[in-house]
Amino acid sequence: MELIIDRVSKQYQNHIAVDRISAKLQKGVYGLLGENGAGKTTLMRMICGILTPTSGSISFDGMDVSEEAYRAALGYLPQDFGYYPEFTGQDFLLYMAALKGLSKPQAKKRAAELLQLVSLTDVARKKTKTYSGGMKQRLGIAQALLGQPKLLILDEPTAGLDPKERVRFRDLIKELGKESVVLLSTHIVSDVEHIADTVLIMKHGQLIWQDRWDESQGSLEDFYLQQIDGEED
Amino acid sequence: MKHFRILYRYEWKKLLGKKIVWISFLLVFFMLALAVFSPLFGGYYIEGKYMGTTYEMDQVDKAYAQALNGREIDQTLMEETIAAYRNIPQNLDIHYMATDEFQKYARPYSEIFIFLRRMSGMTTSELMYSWEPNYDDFAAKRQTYLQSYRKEARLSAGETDFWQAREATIKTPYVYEEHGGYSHLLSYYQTFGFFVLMLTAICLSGIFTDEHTRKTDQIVLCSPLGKTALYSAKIAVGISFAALSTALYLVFLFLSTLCLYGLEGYQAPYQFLDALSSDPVSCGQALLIAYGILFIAAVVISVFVMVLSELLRSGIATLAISTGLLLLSMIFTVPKQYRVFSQIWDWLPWSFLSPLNVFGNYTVSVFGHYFTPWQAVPVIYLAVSVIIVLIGKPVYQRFQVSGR
Repeated sequence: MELIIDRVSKQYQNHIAVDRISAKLQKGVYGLLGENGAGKTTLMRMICGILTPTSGSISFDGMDVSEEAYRAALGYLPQDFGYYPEFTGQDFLLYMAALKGLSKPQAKKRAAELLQLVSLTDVARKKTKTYSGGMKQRLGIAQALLGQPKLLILDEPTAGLDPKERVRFRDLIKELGKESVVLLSTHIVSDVEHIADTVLIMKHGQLIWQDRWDESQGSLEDFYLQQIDGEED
Repeated sequence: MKHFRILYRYEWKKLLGKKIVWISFLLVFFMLALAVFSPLFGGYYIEGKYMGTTYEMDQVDKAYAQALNGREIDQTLMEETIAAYRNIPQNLDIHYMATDEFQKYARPYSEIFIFLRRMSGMTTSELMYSWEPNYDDFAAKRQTYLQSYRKEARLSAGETDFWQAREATIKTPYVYEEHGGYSHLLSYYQTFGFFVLMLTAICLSGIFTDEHTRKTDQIVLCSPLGKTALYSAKIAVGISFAALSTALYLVFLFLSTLCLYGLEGYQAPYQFLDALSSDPVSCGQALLIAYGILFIAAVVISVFVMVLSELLRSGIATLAISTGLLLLSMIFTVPKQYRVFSQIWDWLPWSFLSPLNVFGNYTVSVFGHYFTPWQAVPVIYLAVSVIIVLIGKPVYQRFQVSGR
């Protein structure tokens, strides 16, 4: 199980959003850190196949990012996305399950499991327009997990969650990392510190640091700030 | 296929969850009801004198027309008609229809009189006071009138021969049949077409763009079937919506017309409704053809609107363009001397929905065989629909989520 990012760049006229990034991601949780505008979301969108790189290639277990089989292995939670206001939470998951190619019985079973996992069973038949921000975020996490993805891309997964939920989802993501490649981006360094096996730091579109991190190395937050500020000094 | 069905169902749910769809749908219903039932309330005046409601006057004329059912419009009926009209005094200060002589003698023959006038190109006074009824002269006048019309329309020699051959297949003398219901239904055609196309543009311009404005495109396009089956499901829902709403309105229109005017006269020659047509079809056939074409026009417009919205990434811009084209077609016509442009303009779905175009004289020639507008246009529309769908697919699939 390996995600290969090979010299991937994304350029918009005079601005380089992602600059020749290469990485090989295997089973485990990868925390992607970086300031606003560092290129994290752009990189994630390219990994999800919804943004074409200007150059370079992305593949997962030999499948190119443009292939349907690649998308079948993928689960994606975008940073900011909408819902269909007239759909209930259950409708939304069943609809997404159909898009992911799950059969009807499979979809029903999986939707029920995930609604329970994200504590939305009680409101499953309520329209998503009545959901709070946190409930929507939990529903978003549920849809990302629908197809039991081997490659899970989570852009700010804990944003909008209350502290208790955050801790619960951190544990869940850690668990998922045992069987899948999980790449998550966040501004909350402590989230990465708790769940990521490997840390990636991006700055001005480039990957400036990539390695395993453990508590014995000290505070990740201090190290991260040092990396971000260091090059500018 | 199983997934397509599920996606199709959910796309319907998304579409019907939009308030604008219901508001527009009901508004069109209201406008159509207004068009159909307004004669029940509108007054009929001659020289300022109230004669009754428009509907009551229609019923009087219908009774007179029914009395003529089955009669050939031959020498005898022509003579009767002209004799009846000659009871109306000449040099009147008022409209001839306001005279007692018209009401008493001429009105029972008004359907035949109007038919003779429209078919021959004679003026009302010429027909009323100077023409000596003669069947052969009437037939000759019709030929002259048709030739001058075809020349004005810039028809080629081949087209003229084609229409002449079709004219020759029409059974003469014409046999009169009361056909008021068909006349009313065809009179609604252009308005109805306008409403249906507007509704289609309003309701379907968001089918693709809503995914972008709601930012759901990110999760949809990275799912296995989001770039393939979903595109087909959206297109299928758009087409179904256009066809189904047209069908619902049609059921209403046909049933209400049936109740108000009846639908007798299916076999009446179409020339009773459009004298300049040389198409050997009946009123009933013409109605079915015209409304069948409306379905196909709704399909092509639905596909056009959906794909245009995906190209422009904007529902509002799509709506503005569609409405603009629709309004432009109502106020602008290409002069007949620019034959090719005139034909292209008249055959665009926005302009085509008028009986005068559906049963018009422009043709398409393929290997020497001529096709009438109602034969050629549906095939062209269906082919164009397929091309538009094929063009739209890569546009949809290559959408780039960026800059948010």
